[in-house]
Amino acid sequence: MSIQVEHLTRYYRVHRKEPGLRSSIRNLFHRRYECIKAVDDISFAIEQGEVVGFLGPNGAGKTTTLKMLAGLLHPTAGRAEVLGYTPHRREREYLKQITLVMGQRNQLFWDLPAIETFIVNQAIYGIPELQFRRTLDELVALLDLEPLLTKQVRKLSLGERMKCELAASLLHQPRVLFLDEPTLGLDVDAQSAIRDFIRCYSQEHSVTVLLTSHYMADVTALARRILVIDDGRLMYDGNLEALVESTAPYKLLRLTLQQPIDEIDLAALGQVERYEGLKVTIRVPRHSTTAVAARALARLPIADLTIEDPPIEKIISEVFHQGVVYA
Amino acid sequence: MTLRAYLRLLNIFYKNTLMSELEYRTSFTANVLTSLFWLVWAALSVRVFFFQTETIAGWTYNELLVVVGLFFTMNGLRQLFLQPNLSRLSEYVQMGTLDYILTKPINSQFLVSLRYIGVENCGDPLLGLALLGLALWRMGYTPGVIDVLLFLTLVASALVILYSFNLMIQTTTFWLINIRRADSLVWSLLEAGRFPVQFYTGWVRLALTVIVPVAFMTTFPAQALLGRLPAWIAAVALLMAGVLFLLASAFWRVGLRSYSGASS
Repeated sequence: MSIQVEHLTRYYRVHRKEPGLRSSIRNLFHRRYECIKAVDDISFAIEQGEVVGFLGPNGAGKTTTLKMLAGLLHPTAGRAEVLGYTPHRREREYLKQITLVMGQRNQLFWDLPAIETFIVNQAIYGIPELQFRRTLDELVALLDLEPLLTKQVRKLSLGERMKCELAASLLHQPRVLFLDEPTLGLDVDAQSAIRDFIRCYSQEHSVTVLLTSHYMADVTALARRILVIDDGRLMYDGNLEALVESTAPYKLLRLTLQQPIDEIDLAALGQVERYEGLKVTIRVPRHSTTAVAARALARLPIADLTIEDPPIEKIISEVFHQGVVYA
Repeated sequence: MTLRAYLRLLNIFYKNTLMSELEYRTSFTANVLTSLFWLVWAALSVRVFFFQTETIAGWTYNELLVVVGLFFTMNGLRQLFLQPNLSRLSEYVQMGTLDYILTKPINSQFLVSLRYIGVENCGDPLLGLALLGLALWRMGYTPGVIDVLLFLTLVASALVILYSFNLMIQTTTFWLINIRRADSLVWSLLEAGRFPVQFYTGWVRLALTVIVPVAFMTTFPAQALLGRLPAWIAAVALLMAGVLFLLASAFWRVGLRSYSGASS
């Protein structure tokens, strides 16, 4: 077992401030504190080599959980164990086997080419020269870093910088990767490049990856298993397809008609979601999709027909509204 | 990690900063010229004090120049080693870079304290030492071996004391977040070290010796070099350096615990 989390809980004490000068002054003398449950009794276990996506709206507790696993925050209650270590003790042997990448934060030296940060990390992690060269060569090839290595970091684009950040974080060949929003703010091309890299790298090295992202595409492309968290609580833990099955037991039938027809004829097929011009979207029960499609083709003047799963974003938001779903 | 590994790291850190500083080459020359100007100004302005008298509080002009030179040296060393590192701490906390530092398998206090070097200020200690040498030459005085050893002990202790003070003040950033000003506070305290503590009287002198040990920065090392300091003061300086260093390190750990919320 790579990561084991039991009843993990983390509260923050934040001081509350009402607007206005008067309350600012009162705050100087008498602060009012409020307890925020950032992570509330979460349990899960992850096997070595698993890639797990962490989904949830802003402030749901994803980053707090990741920080506890990386040893940066003490849990208020509960317990976490990663590779047999207790993260918050931050033992050197533990830190040498993990890595933390935060999309919006920077560890590269601004005024120097990325290779200089790599050399500093080599020294900090005590990586032998031969192993360093070999790892670096591999990362350079996978991430296409060759032209970037000798440019000052401040001259790189955001996407290029993220590639270098990833390389800097993987030189010591960690076994567990905590990736917090690694594609934040990147353009579509850069996003998919980072995504492809994470997929290749995790498969080749069978590392454990725990990844948070705003972009559903990141998670669906990389993780077969997802954890959905909202308001500090774990709402779903399981297979992505199973989540789709259980919360969205329907598919979307998209038709393009040759000529307009009566909406009643369409309603006979299923629940009409949209009917504009010649384009129609109908909600059809998952298990009868093929039968309905065949019937539609036989009876209606159809130019084109596709069957789709509802967008994942929609399903996730349904999880948030319906409450806990068990896999 | 072994001492050798840490030294190797320092070597890489310093090479690394040197390279990025060379990106801004012009500031080096400008800094040296400014420092030279201030040094000459300081040396000439204290001359005024001696128009009426040979000695002030037992110090001749040349002896006072030793103190002025030492002041420049100490301040230069501070800007070379301490200031570029510790003043970054509140930035680390605000930008979240500290999270990267804390996930590195290395002593975080070491990384935070010695990561950078203020290359553009490397002229100051040399200029200060040059003035000190000039003053000794004008006196026609050569310090003995013991004097030099005492002097070096005191300078090393002074640096550790200064570092510990700085680290303690900067560590409060864990609770106060923005304390960039604190750096200038330390600097203005050190300003008092331009003159020997004997120039001050009463409780001010006492405070500068005991509470804020400015006397240990310049007066005592100068006296040691001039062969006028009892050896036990060097022992006190060493002890003080040791105790303050341990205190500052403990306080750093308390700060880290608060950062990770271990107390709540």
